[in-house]
Amino acid sequence: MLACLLLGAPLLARAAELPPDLGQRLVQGYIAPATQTLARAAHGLHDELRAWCATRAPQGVPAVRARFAETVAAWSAVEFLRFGPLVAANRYERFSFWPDPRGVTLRQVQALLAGDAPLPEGEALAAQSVAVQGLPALEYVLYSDTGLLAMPGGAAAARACAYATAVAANLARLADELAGEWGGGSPHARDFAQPSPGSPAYRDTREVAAEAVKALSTGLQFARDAKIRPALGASPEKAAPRRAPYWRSGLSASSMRAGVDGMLRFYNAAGLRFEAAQQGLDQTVRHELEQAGGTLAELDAPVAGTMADGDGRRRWTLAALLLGNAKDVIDQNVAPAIGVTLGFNALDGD
Amino acid sequence: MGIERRRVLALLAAAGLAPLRTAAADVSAADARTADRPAADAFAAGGPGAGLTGEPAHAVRYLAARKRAGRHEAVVLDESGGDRRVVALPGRGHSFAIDPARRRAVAFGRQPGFFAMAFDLDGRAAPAELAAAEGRHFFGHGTYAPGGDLLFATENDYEAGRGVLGVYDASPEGGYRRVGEIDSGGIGPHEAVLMPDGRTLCVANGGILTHPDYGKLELNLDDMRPGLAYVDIARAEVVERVEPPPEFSRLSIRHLTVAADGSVWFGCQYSGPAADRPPLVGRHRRGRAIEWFAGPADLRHALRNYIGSVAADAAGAVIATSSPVGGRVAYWDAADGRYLGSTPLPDGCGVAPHPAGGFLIDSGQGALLRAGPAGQARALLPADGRQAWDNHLRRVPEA
Repeated sequence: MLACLLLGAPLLARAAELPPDLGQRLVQGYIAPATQTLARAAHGLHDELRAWCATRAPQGVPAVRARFAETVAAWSAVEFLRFGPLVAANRYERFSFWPDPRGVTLRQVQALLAGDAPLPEGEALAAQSVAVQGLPALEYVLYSDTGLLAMPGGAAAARACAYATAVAANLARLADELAGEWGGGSPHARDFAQPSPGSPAYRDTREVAAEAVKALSTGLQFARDAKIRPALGASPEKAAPRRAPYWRSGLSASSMRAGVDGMLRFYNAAGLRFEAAQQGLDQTVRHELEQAGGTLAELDAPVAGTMADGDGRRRWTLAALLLGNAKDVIDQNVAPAIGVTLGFNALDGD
Repeated sequence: MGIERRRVLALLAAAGLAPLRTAAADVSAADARTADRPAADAFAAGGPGAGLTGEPAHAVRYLAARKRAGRHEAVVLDESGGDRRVVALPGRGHSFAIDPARRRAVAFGRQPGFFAMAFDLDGRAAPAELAAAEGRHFFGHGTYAPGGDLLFATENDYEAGRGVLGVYDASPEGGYRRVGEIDSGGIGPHEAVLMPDGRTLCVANGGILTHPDYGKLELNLDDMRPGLAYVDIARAEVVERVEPPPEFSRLSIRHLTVAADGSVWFGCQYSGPAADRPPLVGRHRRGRAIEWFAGPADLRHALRNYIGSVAADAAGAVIATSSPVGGRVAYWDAADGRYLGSTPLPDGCGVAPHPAGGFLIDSGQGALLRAGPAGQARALLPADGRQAWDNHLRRVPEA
């Protein structure tokens, strides 16, 4: 899914204006606050787990669930920003190694918990396999049938709690790094916000626009092709809800809604100004994303029950369709309108 | 089941490739089911020139996959870009294995490809589809062994997350039956080329783990091990492997060509941060370290960390590397890696040698150009969007 965009077609008349401060708008209007929200959420989760693990009292479980859900939502609003700081140092995979069709996370986390070797923490955890240091690993430890939240008094709970706390600390540290890299004064944020001919990544506003369009297009494709379609299957009999993200914690639909909502806010933050004749494009993108978010909002039940048949399956199908429409309009209409064209070969790396 | 050793050995012997030892048994083989089911639309040719026969044997021909009018096709082209034959494909095609002696080729589906299509360059036989083996898909590239009795295809054993070379009986009576597979020496084998010794394949293992349920989504960016692997065909094993340095673990080696001096030239795609501008072009000679060529800073920026195709000119002295993402084809001196200049071409990707020097290059917008490091590019076909050429343009070698 290496979606790549082609810079070109300079002779085409632009049907939309790129704000000269596009990068600045995106950083200040969306990226910086979204990464700060993630950092706050991850710290909240870490603090909550550290406190709860001292007693593992059943009445503390809802608060842990709530902090976990906040972190998942905040991450979902950031994960489509797969360029720069999120790509560097394997931060994306360390925060969330998913999809994982071969079940690496489960295998490695089980092995880690089964032994009695000292659990890795801090730098030691950050140096481990990405599969044991991120959100999917934490979800498994907390939400599996025999996990911490189901059996907080279990024999292995103390070890699992220590591990969960270490993973949450790792997430908080990664989120801090991300927020720092997108904060004022960091070289990457400056490069993106104020592209210049001598800068390493972005030399002008059009290159910033290409990165932003690529992120949106790829994010929408990921939402449909990685998160929904493999789980939904071609028919009700082929539904595989355990291939949806966060199926254990019941956050499949809400996490996707947070992601779609984030992409819409990111798009709005760009402040593209379309010619009168092209206003429809802008409205279509917003409309499809709003509808997709609304459809996902109607799917709050556990994912297994909603994918097999009936209204639930229809809603998932509709959400996938809306996300695909939004991607098509961005690829085929919005991108060329701002001077970014998508190539037959360039779009789909091979 | 194991590789069908007796059959493979017989075919190797026919190619003059007697195995050095007989232990080809480490070759684990997948289901080698018969894969020669008939094409859905035999003789599915169309377009100007389709069905012509009796062409002179020396006529210069090229192969490319394209999308036109919503249909995917493999096309035999003449040197001015005219269609000489059109073969319908069930999906988007990518590259080709070519058997010049028997005037035939196999078009491979673009990854994750579940079909390959064998066809006659002169239309003397109906195209025949090769389905991917159970649990395998094609990566889009392949090559015949000398003599043309064996075909190798780069494939993904996707449940195991392992790269393999599918081995097919391409002899006249073989019907492209899959007779086994060889470990490719890495994950994500993409292009494979035959070395001048006629017995070694050089495989570009891109290092990126994918699963067809997730298309091309990279599932192991944290843990990539790209590299070149040399596979001895007769021994069915990797005999040499080289990798980029650890700081370039995200530098996926995808495309290859062999220069006149026998060295392998390759092009990479980088999946790390855009602000990194690693060298994308390299040269390797057996037994040595990789040499890297980056070119000037402006070129590096223009290539956008992406090379989509690599070709040597007819003399094997100039290497062309295309970047459809950057819309630029760059040329390199095969002797010393000096950057020789470039041709701008939006979404330009396919490159193949022109017999009189320089290259033919094509684009996803339909253009076909005669171009090279010297002189102006000349347009043979316009970028009018009537057809979209896929990544690779191949010249049919002289038999």
